[in-house]
Formats: sequence, structure tokens, C-alpha cells
Amino acid sequence: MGQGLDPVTASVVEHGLLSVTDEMATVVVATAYSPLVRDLYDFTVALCNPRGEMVVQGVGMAIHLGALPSAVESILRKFPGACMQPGDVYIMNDAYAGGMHLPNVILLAPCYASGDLLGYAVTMCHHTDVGGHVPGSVPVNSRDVFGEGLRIAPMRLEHGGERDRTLLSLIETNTRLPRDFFGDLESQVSACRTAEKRLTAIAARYGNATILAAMQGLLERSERMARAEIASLPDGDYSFEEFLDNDGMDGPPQRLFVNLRIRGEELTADFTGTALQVPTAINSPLAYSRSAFYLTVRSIMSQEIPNTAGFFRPLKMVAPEGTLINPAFPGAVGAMGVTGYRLADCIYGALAKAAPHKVRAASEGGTTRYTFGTTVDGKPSILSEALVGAWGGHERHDGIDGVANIAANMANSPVEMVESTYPVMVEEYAYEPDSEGAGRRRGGLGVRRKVRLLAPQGGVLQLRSGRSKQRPWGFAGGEQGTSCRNVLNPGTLQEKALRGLETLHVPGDTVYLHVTPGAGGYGPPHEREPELVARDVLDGKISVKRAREVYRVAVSGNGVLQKAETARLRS
Amino acid sequence: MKYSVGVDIGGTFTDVVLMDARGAIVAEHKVDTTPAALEACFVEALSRASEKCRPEDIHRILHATTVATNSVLEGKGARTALVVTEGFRDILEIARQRRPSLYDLKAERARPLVPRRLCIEVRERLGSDGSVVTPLQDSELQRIAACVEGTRAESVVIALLFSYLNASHEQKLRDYLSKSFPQKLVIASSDVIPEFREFERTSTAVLVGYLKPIFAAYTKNLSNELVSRGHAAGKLLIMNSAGGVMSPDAARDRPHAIVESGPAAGVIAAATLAEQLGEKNVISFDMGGTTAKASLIESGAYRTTTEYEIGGGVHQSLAVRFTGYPIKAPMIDLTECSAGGGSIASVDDVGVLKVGPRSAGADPGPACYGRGGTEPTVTDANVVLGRINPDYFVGGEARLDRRLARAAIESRIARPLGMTVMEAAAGIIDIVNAHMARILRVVSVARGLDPRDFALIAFGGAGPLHAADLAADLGIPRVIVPEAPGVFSALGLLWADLRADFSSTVRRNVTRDHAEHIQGALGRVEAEAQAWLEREKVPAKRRALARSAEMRYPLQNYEINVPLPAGRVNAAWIARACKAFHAVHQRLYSYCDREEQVQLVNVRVAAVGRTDRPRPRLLDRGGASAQPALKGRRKVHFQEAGSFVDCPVYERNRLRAGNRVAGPALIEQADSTVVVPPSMSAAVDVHGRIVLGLKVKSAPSRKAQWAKA
Repeated sequence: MGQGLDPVTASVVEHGLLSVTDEMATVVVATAYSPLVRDLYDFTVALCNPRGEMVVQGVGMAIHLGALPSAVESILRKFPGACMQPGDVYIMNDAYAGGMHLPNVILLAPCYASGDLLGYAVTMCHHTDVGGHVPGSVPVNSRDVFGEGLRIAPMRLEHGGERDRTLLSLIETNTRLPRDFFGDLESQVSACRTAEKRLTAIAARYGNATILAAMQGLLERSERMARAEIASLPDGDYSFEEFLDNDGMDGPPQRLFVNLRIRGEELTADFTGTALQVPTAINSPLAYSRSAFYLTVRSIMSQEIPNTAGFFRPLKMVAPEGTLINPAFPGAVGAMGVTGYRLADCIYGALAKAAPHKVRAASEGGTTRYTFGTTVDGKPSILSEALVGAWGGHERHDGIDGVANIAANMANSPVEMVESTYPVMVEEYAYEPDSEGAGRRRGGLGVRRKVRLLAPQGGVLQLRSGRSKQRPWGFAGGEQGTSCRNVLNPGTLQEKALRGLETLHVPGDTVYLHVTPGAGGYGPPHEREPELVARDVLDGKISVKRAREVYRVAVSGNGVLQKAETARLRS
Repeated sequence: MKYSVGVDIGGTFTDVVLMDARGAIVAEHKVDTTPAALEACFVEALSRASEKCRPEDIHRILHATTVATNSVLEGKGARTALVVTEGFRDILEIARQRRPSLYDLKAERARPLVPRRLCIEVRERLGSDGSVVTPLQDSELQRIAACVEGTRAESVVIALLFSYLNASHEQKLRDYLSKSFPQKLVIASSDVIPEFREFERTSTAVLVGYLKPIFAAYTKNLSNELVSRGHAAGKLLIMNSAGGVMSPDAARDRPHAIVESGPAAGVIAAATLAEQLGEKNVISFDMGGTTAKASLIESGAYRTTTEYEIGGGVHQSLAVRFTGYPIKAPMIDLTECSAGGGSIASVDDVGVLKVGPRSAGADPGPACYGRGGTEPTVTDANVVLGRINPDYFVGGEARLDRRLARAAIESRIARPLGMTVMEAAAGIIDIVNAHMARILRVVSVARGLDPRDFALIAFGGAGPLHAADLAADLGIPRVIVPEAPGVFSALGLLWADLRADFSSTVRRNVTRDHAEHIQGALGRVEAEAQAWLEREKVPAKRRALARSAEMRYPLQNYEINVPLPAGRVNAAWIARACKAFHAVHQRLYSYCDREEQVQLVNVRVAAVGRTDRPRPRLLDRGGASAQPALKGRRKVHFQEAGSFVDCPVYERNRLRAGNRVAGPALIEQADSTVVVPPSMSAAVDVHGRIVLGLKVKSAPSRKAQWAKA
């Protein structure tokens, strides 16, 4: 244990710190106003030590893992901790000051006990709208970051408990949904205040020095554990490439490339060879790319490693500026998700070579985000949903059907909530049968969501989805999953296939269908136990035809396995 | 003489208590829980308690059971089919699409209680205002019936979109299917829980379909066992999660409402004791063999919640929601953690000492039981530290082997960590205490309440062993140990009121425009509650209705339960209701917005049939000296001293009212041991409860000393 704390006190104080972030998350969920935060859980909370190093990141979005440190660093560079005072709150969202895309607004509050700085409480929420030319502020067609909404450099939002009215007023005039924005912001402030109260209480019992020592212990322990994990991987260079469908418009596929260099207890991800940044919004800010790197490596390690900045220390990243994954100012980043999630797939591809037992075949390629912006009774209304896909097959586990991406852990929106809040009607939400990447351990099924956009005057439909062309890869002989589909008015004369990335005006009563990709499979499909194939047929997840042709298993229409025929097919 | 019996099945032990008409405990026992057939330990417990009386002398048998939770976690419920709106076949399996552990690539989804092959889509649709968008045709009813027939399901659950606003389609299907399949159980979600949010409603209704046949068989078996033992049918009452008891018939209809029956009984016991003592603010702390539970009683009342998931992990953070099987039903708001006497201590790969979540249960149990367990547990640590008397565990019915406890701690903990056995044992206690301190904080500090304003009521076989250290840690000034702490939850069964909960979704802002609507909903739900009291034959003078509502700011998604004012909904009523909501929001989240509208999501009415409050017996008075109860001395390790201290051991049975015991001391009784640390002293009150409090200004704790070092 670090700093001479006995293991028991360290454990007790660590539990205390963990419950601080649990509680921060609870406060955000319980009090936020926007469906994105309160229903979908698109937020993250963390505690940092006085040096700004993250010592606990609470449950939330995996792909936020690496973003908070750079944001905190940039706030502290402008407002050093020594100049802060109790009751201060700082805010920022600028992609070019350590942030992500502009809707991800970060709040930081210093926490004090007996006048001494104990650390910082940090929250990040995806706000539904921060302005820009497309409702929802995640435009796919912006040419630079200026068109994507209000950029907030690190600023002081509250000083000694007093809100900065000028700043609030500026924000108010730049968002389409001030009520949602301030409701969510209030939940962030409340979470930070809660953190300070709890930290103060722990300090009152154990002393500031003990808390700081426990924080240090967490950092050191996670670093040590991470180093041991990396050392257990065979030294070597492991590379992988992936291609994005296009440049965000009609351009050619764009290359993502990583070479993982494992040397002893350090791991370097070198992304040299990745495509240059593009003049659309799919560029991934460095903070987001870094998150993809951290979360993939984190997920193949022991679950016990504390979620701290200490774990990052043996990880190095080479990401040349001016590329898709580290765009130069003022590159647009609104649809960063397309690239960020796929970057995770790419790193998994390389990790699969170093640690094949730990990695799954490719997932669906990232959360689909669609927004529908219109007006109801003269007021802006913006529906923003996260549609998720599936996990790939693993050596010992099937993929998971219809579940949040590994990089995220967002929830879906209840249909009854969506329809009572927005002018839409959800007509279908179910699995897409036969979409799985076949395999001994099959990939998960994708999901269909069909939504009728009712607003009589129509509105702006904005889609951000990946893998329309580049399908999720299989692993160890497993097959690819299906690609993603976006269709307007399916099954009618007006049916129209859409690209994965679109911003378009649609008339009233338009139907939008999204089908997420199925995930990749693991191992050859004809090695899959016939009973498992028959069970999937019985459940209507796989068709009789597909069972026969791809898995070489004969199953009757009512799901009964035909053993003799299967033996013949497989001989 | 008339007697009542309470039987509380827990994870490790089944507790039973026999109480006479004057409220005195006549017999108490603990028997091993038999998870494979819970009827067996019920019967065993009942026979042990009633050895000395005739069946006809027993007029009530009250019961708390884990049968519902076990059936879900072990997948042993009824074969259930689910009928859903067309287009939404996978509503149950996709759930909220989340997973419990953020970075675990080996994660698996909780197995859906209804597999996809048994999910049937019906052509119909209601709009978000409850209007019919696609009518439900008669031909469709026949088609669905044919599908249902093919499923061979025992239960059929119907859960359609927006049925909380308009139940007509669900009712039509329910009636048609009930008529077509009289032998099947048919459940409509709008009958179970007419509330907003389709997945949670569907999940709750499915749990009813899944559990009801199991629970019906279970209660029938119990009734048969009772009848065969000469008990009249109708004596049995079942505890629900909201802290009331109901007839087996009523419980059978709401099996989802009894999942936390045992822990609820504990809270009822604590609340009743608090009332007797005149303690307004109490934290109830119940530590048994498998889990520890904490709950809050504030101004004499416990809180209820409607957010619960079976298998959802420690439900202390909203951020891990939607990873188990959600149930929307009122239950006493309590927080649990896997920390009990049987919790296993281990050292992980990186040399960190862990306690739990695994438990050694009753079989093999802790190493010291000598039943083949080799992993050290919290009980083993307590034995090694001299806190538990190996010859007087469960009243001497079980003899514990101190050498086995030592050996287990030595080989699994002390040696790998390079510590002495004593340090390792003390470490186990400190860590399990840290887990429990966390849940105590969740129910107090985390809600903006200062534990220094509360008393701790400690019970469960292991509660009194750990309570004093926890109280010191949280700054709780008083610890109260009831007369029979080991079977206190079983006593809570005997003290509980008859109770059922009714609700309806309103989703209207609390304004004068909606006064009539709110009044209408309240009126309907109250009428339903009255009808239930009628059916349960509760005399008018024992009836009570408690109204509350889930409220929030309109754009929030999480409601706070707030008691509603009495009287008709008018301008003054509206002002009072809103004011109450703002105040609770301010306390919980450090802010409120009095300019903002308040939305009333659900109205709830608890129907209560009051039972007689027990009249605690008076204990014979003694002097201040507890000398007559002194039965020996031994060396005991106290966490705050950090070392072994030679201390007196008292027999609780021989203590008299007015006796005082200064720490360090142990007070042993058949079902538990009270640890009185050096800094505290204990006093016996007129009814035989032990009250621990700080003796003098306490010396700096061991932790504080460490912090300085």
C-alpha cells in the first residue's frame, strides 16, 4: 500500500471514496432533466486528487475514461488549484482544450476540508443541445468546430457560491433547449457539492493526510496491477487496420491503423498510418481517441484494477496531429462517435493477436445516435436516441444480443416516455434475426427500431451510424456480422435507403427504420453445438435456412434438431 | 393461553419465536435453512417452537420467506408465456440494454424469465394518450389463443404498450384467454401495476406470472403441513416487502410484493421497538449469516421505495440499475450488502484482504463449525478474537472449534499477508465493518442525515457483535440491543400490521387545472384499498389508509415518494403537496426550484389493518451492579483497543433491570453476543433491552492512531 497506510485503513477509506462517486452518479440520474442523461445515462463522474489526477472514476461511459484527465488538466492550467476557493465551479466543453464533442460539458468543483484542498469533483454530461446548425448539436456535415455549437473554454461558472450570470445568459441564448440544459447542469453542480460534503465527512474522521494517502495508494496500486497485466502479455508488435465506410460524405473508406508495441510492462499504441483528418465531422478529438485506447486495454485486464489515472501510466499513445484520431484545430468533431467506437474495434483487433483468449470478435461498431429536431407548439423539440447493437463472440461465450457497446453502457429510452414527450411513434423495437456473425460462439443479434416521425411540419433527421459497408469482423474462423441499415419509409413506394451519416429535412409522417449491425462470430460456425443452433431456431433468432446453410445443422420449423441429417451435413 | 408464532427464513438460519398473549417470548430457536425445500425448515422451526403447547393454542402463524427470490435466481419459476404489442417481441430480453460491470468482456446478460420462443406479438396499438390506434380484432384473439396453446405455458402474462392509460385491450385478451384456458394463470400488466414505463411494468407482471404458481404451491404445502399438525387453516399470514402481513391468498396474487419479506420484518421490529422506547430517529441494523441490512426510521416512520431489482447487486446506486429483474412494488427502503457471519475472507491476486461477497451459508458453514469448511469467515474471526464463545453458540446447540477457525485464518490470510493470526482476524472484522458502515452511510449520510442524530438498533445473530464498532465509526451515540436479537426479525412478524399497497399513474402537474383528475385517481385507489380491507375482514376501527405520491420536477425521470396531505384536492392541498416535495428535494439534493412546476407521477395508498401493539414485559429490577450475572472472564480482542483485554463475561439471562456493565465486557445470550468495547458502557432498561453508550470521552481510535503514524 502506498504512503504507509495499513491495508485496513486504506480499504476503509477507499470504500468511502468509491461511495462518493456512486452517490454523485445517483444524484445526476435522480435530478437531471434531459432523457439523454436521466434515461440513457450518457454521463460520467469522477474524483481527482489535488494534482488533478483521477483517483476514482464512477460507473458510467467507458469511452469517457480518458477524457476527464485532459479536461481537468486544461481547467487547472488556466485556473491553478491554489487560486480556487470553496464554492467555485468551473465549466468547459471545448474539443480543442481537452474536451470531446461540444455537447459533452464538463464541470469541476474543488473540494476542501478545513480549508485545505482535498481534490476535485468532476462530472461530464452529454447535453441535448448546445446550439450549432443542427438540432442536437451532433452534426455530421459540419466543416469545422465553429458550426457545431457553443464552444466554452475553461471558465469559472460559480465563484464562492455565486453564479456567473453573464456566462449563464450567453449559454441560454445559444442552446435550443435551455430548460434541459440548466436542469442537467444543476444535476452536475449538485453531484459536485455532494462529493465535497462526503469528502469533508471522511476527512473529519480520518484526517486529510489519510485521504490523500489513500488516493495515492489507489493510483500506485492500479499502476502496479496494470504493469503486471501488461508484463503477462507476450512482448511483440501487434498491428491491425480497419476502414471507416467513408469520409463522412461520399468519399472513399478511411483507414484506421494501430501498432501495439508491448515491451515488458509498458504498452504503446502507435496510430501512425491512420488517415488524415477529413473535412466532415467524424474526426475524433484526442481525448476521445485516448478513451478508446484506455478502455480496450482496461477491459482485457483484471476487473479488480481500480479505475484511476494510475492505470494509464504504463500506456503510451502516438497519435500524429492532423489525423482522424487527433484532428488539428478547427476540424469538426460532432460525429466523433463513428471514429471513436471503430478505433476501439481496431485496437481489439490488435489485442486479439496478443491475448486471443481475452478478446471478443468485433461488436456492432458503435452506438447509433439519431436525433429528430422539430417544433411543438412553437417550441424546439429534440428527440435524441442511442440505439445499440451487439457484442461479438468470444472463445468461451456467445456474443450478447442487443446490448450497449463495450465502450458505452447507455440505456434505451422507454417507448412510453418517448411517445409521451416527442411527436413520434415507435412502431418496432426488436432483434434482427439472422444478423449475427455465425461462429462456434456466435455474435450477438442487431436490433431494429422503426420510428414514425409525426410532427406535421416535418423536421431535421440527423443520423450518426457506422458500419454501413464495413461489416463487424469475425475472429478465429468466425464470420462477419451484418452491416447497418438506415431506411426511410420502408415497404412503401417512397422507400429510400440512407447513408450511415445524414442530415436531412423530412416531411411529416415519415417512417425511419434503423437496423444495427449484428456482431462478429468466434470460431467456425460448423463447430457450433447443434443443440445451440436448434435453440436459436426455436427462439426465432436464426432461420431454418441459415441454420442449414451456415451452421450445417438441420432443424425443423418448430425447432426440433434433426440429428441424422445434421451428421450428414457436417460430414 | 393463546400464542403466536413467527417463522423467518433467512439465507443461513431459519428463526422462530413463540409469543404469548401478553407479548412475552416463550420460546425461540434457530434451525438451519434448507434451501432445496424451504417447507422443511419452516416445519422444523414450527415444531421446535411449539413443543410445549397444543396446536389449538396457536392462533396466528406469521411467516417471512426467501422462496420468491430463490426461484428467480435459480430459474425455478413457472413456464411463462408473454403477450406483447406487435413490434416489441424482445421487450423483456433487451430490457434496458445495460450490463452490470463496465469493463467485463465476459459479462453475460441476466437470463430472461420468458425465452423468446414464448413471446407472442399481438396486433393492436394504443397511442400515448391512451386512444386506440390499431383496434384489437376478435380474429386476433383467436390467433393468440392458438399461439398460447402451443406454448404449453403454465402462466400467460399480457403486457401491452400504454395499458396504464387504457387497459381495455389487456382486459379483452385476459378475459378471452382465461375463458379459453381455465387451467392457466392469466395476468394483465395493468392489473398488477398500472404504471408508466413498459419494461419495468412488463418485468413486474412477468415476475407475477413466473412466481405465482410456485408461491401457490409453497403456501399450499405449508397449509397442508399445518393442517396435518392439527392447525386450523387460516392461521397463516405472510409478510410482504412493504412491512405488512397479508393472507396467503392475497400474497399469492402479489408474489412480487413479498421478495424482501424477511428484511422487512426486521425493520418492522426495529420501528416497533423504537416506538416503545420513544426513539424518533433510528437506524435499524440487521446482520445475519449471509447479509447485513440497514434501514432508516425517521420521526417514527420507515421509508418505502418502488425501485428494486432481484439480482441487481447492492441497490445503493441508481447508476447500476437495469441489470437484474426490476420489480415495481412498494417495499421498505433498505440497503443490503453481502456481509454476515458466514461471509468468506480471502486474499486476492494482488495481496488485498477481501471479505465476501461469497458466504459459507449453513453448509458447510464457517471453518469452526467443523462441517468441512476450510475458508475463514467473519464468525471464525470473531471466535479467534474471543468475541464468540465456542461453547455457547446458538445457546450451546452448536460447538465451535477454535482451532479450525485459527487454522483457516492462518493458512488463507495470515501467512499470505505476513501477519499474525490476530492481526488477520482483526483485519477481517475491520473490513466487514467497513462494508457495513457503507450501507449505514447509504441510508443516513447519503441522504443528508447526520448519524449522530440517530440511535442504532442492532439485531440478527451477528448484529450485536459488530454494532458498537460501527456506531463509534459513524458517531452514532446509542446502540440498542433488543431482548432476543437473534430472532428479532421473527418478532417483527408478530408485530406487523396487515397491509397491501395500491397505486395508479397520474402524470399531471400538481396545479388547480388537474385537481379534479388527481382527486379522481386518489378516490379510485382509496376505494380499491378499502375493498381489500373489506375482503380481509378488518374491523373498521383497525383500518387506516396512508396516501403518498411519487413526485418530481416535470423533466426529471426519478420520483421522490412524498406523503400527501389529507382532505380533498383544492388550492390549499396543492400548495401543501408542492411545498412538501420542494423540501424533500432540497434535503436530498441540496437544491430545489420553487418556481418550477411539480409533477405527480403515481398516487399510492397503503391499506393497513392495525394489529395490537405488543406490551413489553417488565424485567425484575436489580441493582446497578451486574455482579450476579457475571459468569467468568476471558481475553477478548477489541477493535478500538487493538489488542486483547482481559474482560468480564456476563450472562444476559441473569441481568436485571437497572444493571450497568462497564466496557470492556461481553454479554452472552443464547442467540447472540453483545460486545461492549472499553469506551462504552451498557445499561439494562426496565424491559430488558441493553442500551450502549459512550462511557467517557473516547480515546483516539486505532484508525486515528494509524492515521497519525
